[in-house]
Amino acid sequence: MINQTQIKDIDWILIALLVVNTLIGIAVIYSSSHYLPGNYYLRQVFWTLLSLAVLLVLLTVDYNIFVTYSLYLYIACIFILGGILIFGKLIAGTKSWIKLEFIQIQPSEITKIAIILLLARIFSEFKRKYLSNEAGISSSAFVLLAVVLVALQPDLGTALSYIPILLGAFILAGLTRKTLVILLIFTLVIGIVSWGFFLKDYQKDRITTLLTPEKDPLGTGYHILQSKIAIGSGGLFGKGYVRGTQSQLQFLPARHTDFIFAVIGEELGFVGVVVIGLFYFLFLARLFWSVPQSRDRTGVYIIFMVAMMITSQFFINVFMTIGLFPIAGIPLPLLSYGGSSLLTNYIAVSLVLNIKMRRFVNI
Amino acid sequence: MKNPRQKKINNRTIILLFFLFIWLGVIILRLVELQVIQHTKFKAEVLNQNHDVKAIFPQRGTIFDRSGNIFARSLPRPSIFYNLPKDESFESHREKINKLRKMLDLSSKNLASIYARIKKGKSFIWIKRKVETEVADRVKELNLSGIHFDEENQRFYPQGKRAAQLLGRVNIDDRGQSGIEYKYNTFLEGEKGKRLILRDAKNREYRFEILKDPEPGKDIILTIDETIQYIAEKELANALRKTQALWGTVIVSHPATGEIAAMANYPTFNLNSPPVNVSRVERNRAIHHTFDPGSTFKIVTASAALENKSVRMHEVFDCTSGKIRIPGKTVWDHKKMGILTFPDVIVHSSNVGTIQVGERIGKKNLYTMIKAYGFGQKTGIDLPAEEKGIFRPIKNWTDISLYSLSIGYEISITAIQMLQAISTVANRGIVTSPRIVKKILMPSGERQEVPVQFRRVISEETAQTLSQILQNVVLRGTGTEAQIDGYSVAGKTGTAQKFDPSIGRYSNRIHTASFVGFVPVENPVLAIVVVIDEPKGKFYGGDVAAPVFKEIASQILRYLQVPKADAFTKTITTARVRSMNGQ
Repeated sequence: MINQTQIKDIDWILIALLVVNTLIGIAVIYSSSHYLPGNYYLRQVFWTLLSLAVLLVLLTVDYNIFVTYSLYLYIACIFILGGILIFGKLIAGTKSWIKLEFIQIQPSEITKIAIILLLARIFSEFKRKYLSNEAGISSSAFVLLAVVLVALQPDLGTALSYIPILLGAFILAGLTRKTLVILLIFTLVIGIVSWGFFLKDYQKDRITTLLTPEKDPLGTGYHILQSKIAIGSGGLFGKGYVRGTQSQLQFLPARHTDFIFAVIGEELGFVGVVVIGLFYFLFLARLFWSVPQSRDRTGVYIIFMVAMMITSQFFINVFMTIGLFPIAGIPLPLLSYGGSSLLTNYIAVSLVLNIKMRRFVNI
Repeated sequence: MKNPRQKKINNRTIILLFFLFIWLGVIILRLVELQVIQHTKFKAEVLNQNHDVKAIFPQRGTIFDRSGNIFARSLPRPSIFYNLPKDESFESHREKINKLRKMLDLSSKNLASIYARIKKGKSFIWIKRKVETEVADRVKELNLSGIHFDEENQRFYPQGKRAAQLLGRVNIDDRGQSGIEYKYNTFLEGEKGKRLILRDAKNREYRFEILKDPEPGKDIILTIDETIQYIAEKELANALRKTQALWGTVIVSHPATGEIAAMANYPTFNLNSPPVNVSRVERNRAIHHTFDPGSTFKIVTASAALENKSVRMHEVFDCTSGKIRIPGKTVWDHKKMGILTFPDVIVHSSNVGTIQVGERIGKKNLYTMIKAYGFGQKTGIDLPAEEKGIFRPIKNWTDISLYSLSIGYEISITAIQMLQAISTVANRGIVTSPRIVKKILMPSGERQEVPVQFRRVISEETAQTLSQILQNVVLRGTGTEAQIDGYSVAGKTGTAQKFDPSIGRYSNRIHTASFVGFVPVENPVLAIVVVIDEPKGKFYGGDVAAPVFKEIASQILRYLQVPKADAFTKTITTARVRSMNGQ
């Protein structure tokens, strides 16, 4: 299954960047939650170790085997997502969680892996110059089914984070102008219809308050305003680690999860954000740089989709935190507290490593 | 390895990376905007969110009577307010308020205003202020989020109704609204302190710092004597019940010092639970209400006559017809009195005689005397809303003004001005400005408020003569009802017709009855004015007001242990009189 050369070809730099970013995350999680019961930073350490172990174990299996079984994995995920919609209990207002003995798992996160593998399979068999109708429609159908199930939990943020994965596959497959126009119109129609029929009032408010958060500072504008205040008051050099007033005094909502970027901005300032951002950027750049380093098209697709998934989440989260995107409830990959998200990202990176270390293997 | 396919993938990745760089640029620009350009604004916002400078309410000063009995004091009382917790629905607010409703006895009006403020999104809402400590404790036990307590002070008046108009009220914010509470508010209220409170997002205080200690209000000692005040109020109330009058007022003072020992009004109210229409009863009529004095004013006319030597003591005046024509009308006496000497004109209060005396005095002299007594001017008593009355300057006088003024019409005065006049006579011609506050207790020691001012109005001789005449009023004239066994009383009755606006002239149906006098004549301890407005049935000052004077004065004399006048003991009297100066 695995040999000496392959181990030599493991991209240790990528693993190092992954771990460094995770450790930065743990440090900030400590700062933003040490006064809360629950030892969140310790839990995150536990999840990091677990995820790292999973990452390494998965390297022993050729990724093509995962791709082969991707449809079953996808079906399993869909069943679980459907199941928790029916049987699940509300936790924090959504049915996103499966509660095991002592840990909670968010199946919607793991589903991302299933989607990546399934799309890789669909698109690798496709060899024309541009995206074919069959591939386009079938892949869209698979993704949309998952999107709908997760959106019903309701967890619109995670549901929407599936879309960039699909978009990544499309970009790689090549889009004609016609397809582009169709996609644009489709997006517009979906947008308008959702606004009219499906979006709940609080979701609409999140979008409208983006423009005028001051209008309702204690209501829907609260998150955006507090986030901006925290970041803005941090200034150039920040208030110091564990010394951010907005975060420590809990003015800032979801400090150790979705708004962890604001904690960095407040406590470490502009300089701190740039330094941490640099590490993050290196990690993302390394992912994109790895795209061509595959022995087959399947690998190219997987790496690209993984890079798209993590990058899009990063941008959406940061844009939301700095008040340029509606509050979507998406964690900042690797930095935000959250086991399922961390595990998913580690598995995704594991796939990238898996592909890269086997790039010289002959089939 | 580089086939066209691969190249294409590379190109797409590069284009994508290009977009990512643009977005990164956007993030950095935005961070520069928030963290560098708008940094000051957001920093201020942070302070705005968690810093709160609140007032510490000082304890309001205590008001004592002259011997240390408490008239008004403040005690700490908790006030309950609601700091709207964020992210809570209106229903959850309502649930909490509903829980408090019974406990705090909130009226539906209170509730409506609380809900209105919740809907407006106010973050600070008073639920109920100044509740009993036990009630507040029970509310604390409920442990409702957002319900907080603040220590305020509640004003208590241990004597309830006593001296209500004089002391006055404070509003919910402890600011004086009337009476002493208003006049001396700056001394009583003290200075607010300041405290800095730092709060977290859940409105929990995590740091507390006193920036400035509050300075408690100064205590005030009045010249009022609680017992004398009680006697005056009790007797006034009795008289009003008997006469069915509209209202009445009594002032008791110590003529030599001008110190007011009692100032009573009726009807009155309880300061601890003022009625809804409190404005109707809280006026201090003793200094606020002006009226035509009628015959009591003859004291002034007699003063002018004696001071200017306009009449000789034994000169007689013809009052046989019981009436006298003045331009435009006829003035009547209450009965035909024959030929009267000058003193008897006053003793029997003959209008006919007094008008003839007035004619002899002349406009200018009468005007000067009225002015000298201080009519038409405020006495300067340290109470708010004192009226100065109406006394027209001489150039505005008509043909009959001289006659009218001689017998106490065409002028309106206050009870305190009348008291001032009689005190002048009692005090051998010297007037002392009336005072109600004896001391203000400063942290640095005592301080006398309002220095006593003396002014001679009439000569000692005039005053002496007038005293004798006034003593005769009580002995054998209109004021016999004011006689007190064992004491020599001087006084003057007054029965003024009231001007009736509905008929446009003075009415012979409604009257203001009054009596003003002092006792004992030789060494006056008390000067008292009694005014009773619109008594039903008997309406003469001698019948209605003089007995009130008698009741009040005799009780006070007993209380002060003023010995009955005996030729013998006269010399020791001064030493044995329990001084009103507080010892």
